[in-house]
Amino acid sequence: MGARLIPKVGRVVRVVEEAPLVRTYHIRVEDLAEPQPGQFNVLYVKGFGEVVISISNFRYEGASAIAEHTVRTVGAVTSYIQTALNVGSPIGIRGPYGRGWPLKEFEGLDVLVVGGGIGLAPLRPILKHISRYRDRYGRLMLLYGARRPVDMLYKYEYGEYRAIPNSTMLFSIDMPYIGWSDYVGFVTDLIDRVSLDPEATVAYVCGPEVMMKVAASKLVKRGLREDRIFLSLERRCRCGIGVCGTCQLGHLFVCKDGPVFSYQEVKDYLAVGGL
Amino acid sequence: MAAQLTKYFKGGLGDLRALFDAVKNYVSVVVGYRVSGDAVGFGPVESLESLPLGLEDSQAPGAYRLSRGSSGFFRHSHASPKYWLHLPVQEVFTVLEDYAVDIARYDTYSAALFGIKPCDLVSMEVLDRILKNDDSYWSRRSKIELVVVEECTVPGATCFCGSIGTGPSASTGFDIAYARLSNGIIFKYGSEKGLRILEKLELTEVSEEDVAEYERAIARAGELTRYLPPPSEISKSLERSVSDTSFWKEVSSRCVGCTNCNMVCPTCFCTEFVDQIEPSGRAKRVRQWFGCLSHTYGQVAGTHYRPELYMRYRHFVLHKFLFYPKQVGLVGCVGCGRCITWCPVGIDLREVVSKVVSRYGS
Amino acid sequence: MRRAAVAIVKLTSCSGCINEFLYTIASYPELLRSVSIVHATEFQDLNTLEDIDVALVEGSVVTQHQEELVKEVRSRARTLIAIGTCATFGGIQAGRVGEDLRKVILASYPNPDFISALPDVKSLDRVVKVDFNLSGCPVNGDALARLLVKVILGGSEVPIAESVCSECKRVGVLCVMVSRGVPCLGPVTLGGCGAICPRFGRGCYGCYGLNTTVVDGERLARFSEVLEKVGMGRGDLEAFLKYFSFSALTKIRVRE
Ligand SMILES: Cc1cc2nc3c(=O)[nH]c(=O)nc-3n(C[C@H](O)[C@H](O)[C@H](O)COP(=O)(O)OP(=O)(O)OC[C@H]3O[C@@H](n4cnc5c(N)ncnc54)[C@H](O)[C@@H]3O)c2cc1C
Ligand code: SF4
Ligand code: SF4
Ligand code: SF4
Ligand code: SF4
Ligand code: SF4
Repeated sequence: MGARLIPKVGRVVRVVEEAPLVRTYHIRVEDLAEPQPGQFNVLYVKGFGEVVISISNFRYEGASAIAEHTVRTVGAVTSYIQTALNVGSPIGIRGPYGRGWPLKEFEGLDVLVVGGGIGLAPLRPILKHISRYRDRYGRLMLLYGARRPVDMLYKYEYGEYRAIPNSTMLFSIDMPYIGWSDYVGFVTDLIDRVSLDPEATVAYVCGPEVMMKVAASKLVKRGLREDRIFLSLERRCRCGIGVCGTCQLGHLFVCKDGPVFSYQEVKDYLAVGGL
Repeated sequence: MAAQLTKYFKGGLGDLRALFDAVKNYVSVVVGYRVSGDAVGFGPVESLESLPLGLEDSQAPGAYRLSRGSSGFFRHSHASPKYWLHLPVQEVFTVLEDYAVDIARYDTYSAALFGIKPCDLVSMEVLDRILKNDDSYWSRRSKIELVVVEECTVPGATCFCGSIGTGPSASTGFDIAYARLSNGIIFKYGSEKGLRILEKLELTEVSEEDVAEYERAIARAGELTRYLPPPSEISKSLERSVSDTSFWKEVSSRCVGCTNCNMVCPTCFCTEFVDQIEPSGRAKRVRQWFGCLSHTYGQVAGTHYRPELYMRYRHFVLHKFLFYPKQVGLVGCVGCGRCITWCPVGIDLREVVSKVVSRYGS
Repeated sequence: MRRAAVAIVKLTSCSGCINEFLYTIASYPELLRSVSIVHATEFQDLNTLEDIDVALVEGSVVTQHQEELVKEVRSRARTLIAIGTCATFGGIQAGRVGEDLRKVILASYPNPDFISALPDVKSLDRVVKVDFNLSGCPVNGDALARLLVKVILGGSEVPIAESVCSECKRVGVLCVMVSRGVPCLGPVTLGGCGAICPRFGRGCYGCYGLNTTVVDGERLARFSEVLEKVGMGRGDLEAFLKYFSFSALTKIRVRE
């Protein structure tokens, strides 16, 4: 009974310190289906609860899957993950769930990726995907902003991203920092600093909701089609499979209809506070 | 007309008893409205005596009374098939010390629903569609082998099924339905299975007169429950009202976010999860009903997606009339009036919807 | 596992919550084995304050001494849990706020000279940072035990704020107010008790405190009209609110 809500038990095989209060957990688990970029898993820590966390990277090692999850400590369950989970710790995991980033449909187009803070986590698989299938896409532009330089995720991979041919990376932080020579201000300001071919660009955006709204409306002003701007939304998610109801945004279940939506699908709902 | 006559049979209270017994033989457990103490709940029913046949409920916004009387007609209580199909509190799993996950098991039996109302029937269809991924719900739902509906010739004062088209008679999704009239009980079947059971009872043929009387009674009940414009008109008006903050603040100004409306609504399905752990490391995960009118529902670490009460109340109404149709192709409100009756401050959904339509209707 | 050092601190209160805790811990032998009670105001031989993992504080702050004690406890405790409605909202003794303090003291004590009370009655969160508020008069022992285990294991609990009515309906209790016209504060009161009073056919009198995540002064005033209709006068309602929701009343705007 209720088998869909039962986690598989995996084990943490590696922990990477990303930023203050943010770590990436590499979790080894048997027979987990291969996720699409932008999908998420539900992690369960025994006795403390579940959290919905994007899959920031994925690979198979023999028969077992290694899912990477970048977790920011914000509340009860994530704090416990931060305190109690180390290499070797068991952890419950179920997924992958949700509708991820549509990538195949937009092969041939330029790709603009806009991330804010922890929002880079679900975008990371896009960067990996494009670097793997480089010839299938046009230009790659990554705009990424965080509060402080130290808050930026996956710093150890920026070299790899920069090495992707025909790509641009722009970074921003919210406030000036000694030694920071890139942009200071909102990540959405960076949109003004890239040249875009509005007819041939698809945008993937994830970050705080206000940032995503600003990004989307800027991109629309730059001439991008609303159905080519994709946002990964967040709501209070409990079950991940559309049965608990609590993630509803209008008639959409963020967990199963999303979390990735085109701006066209959600802009009316996002415009009204508290839907 | 003649073709239609075969749909109906006629009998009395004794035949209802015979039907109950026949149904009881058919399945392991008969489930329905059940008198327990001074309340009517929903659960296994041992005999016809446990059904609220002799009870009359009177309902008004924020008020419910049960009284005894042989001519009484029972509509429903705070309970509904939801109490049986989608348990208010259910264990999901236990995790042992060594992290072995033990799935909670509940015994399920082949079951028949007896005496549910036409509106209840539609509420199950709504739940079926929305909980299609919920194997806990389906483990019970799929065991229901027979559905016997009691149609409403005497609707309650908060009933408005006639507006939605979900009552006062049953149209599909049942095996047998019966309606109590002043001079007997009219039985009809909705499936082959239902017909076979009815044929084994010693029912009489109906006359054209009987059918006409039955149809009049249903039509009268339909009239009495037709308060609102058609659902499509309601959803269109709601769509236009969405950003009228002051309107939604005004209609929800007496609401205290107690979630009674969510809990009693036969189509509200939302749940919360609660985790427990023992010092030894054995843990349990429990799932329980949860209402979108509560504060915690849309709250997340660091922010809140419906921080104000009017937003939560608005979601309740929008979900029923605007979002359910987009989600499952059915209006989420079956017009049972429970949320009106059991709202301790008596907020009347019909009034709110009427206001929306009069302000935003075409 | 190292035993967690637990302090049981009592301020102004009736000891009912501490009793509840003792009952509960006695029925959870496993829990008993994982804590070590290092301080207990009421047990003579355990009254020094060391470093504490978890402080369970019962009662409200009504004297200068208590205010200092609570601050000291806070500075030594990793986690501080306010247990019971006195600690979370002020409790019954808040009923005296606004009265002539001298008269109250004279009426209550044979030797009033030894009493040095402050005019206010403060819930803990008005004095120090509280990690968890577990209200209830008395606190729900099971809920306390469950939270304590989580805290001892180094975690915390996902808080849920809902009304007593939610619990009532999940239990399947017939609503006393709607079905019998018995005044009930359940709709505006924080759940956590499992709807004990309605289960016994009585109205809730609000002992877990006002659900201030939803109820503000306006809503409370409108709800009081509903209660009035079923026979609970303004005076009674005000008394219940003062006894069980005092600190909430100081926060919300109450319409005259
Ligand atoms: C599709 C999706 C992808 C996400 N991906 C990531 C990620 O890659 N990394 C990351 O750090 N965070 C991610 N989050 C947010 C993450 O789920 C929350 O930060 C986390 O649930 C907080 O749990 P908590 O127990 O620590 O906080 P508490 O506030 O104590 O939360 C209690 C409960 O509320 C729910 N909850 C709280 N905050 C959120 C939230 N923001 N979104 C959804 N549910 C919430 C959870 O069920 C949680 O168990 C994602 C959220 C969604 C919806
Ligand atoms: S919204 Fe109200 S009237 Fe409609 S189905 Fe739910 S409880 Fe019944
Ligand atoms: S009205 Fe609220 S509680 Fe009911 S189903 Fe919709 S979201 Fe869930
Ligand atoms: S709403 Fe209609 S079908 Fe339901 S109990 Fe009332 S009259 Fe009967
Ligand atoms: S039952 Fe009434 S007061 Fe309670 S949440 Fe629903 S509408 Fe508000
Ligand atoms: S008895 Fe009280 S607590 Fe229970 S539902 Fe009724 S009003 Fe709410």
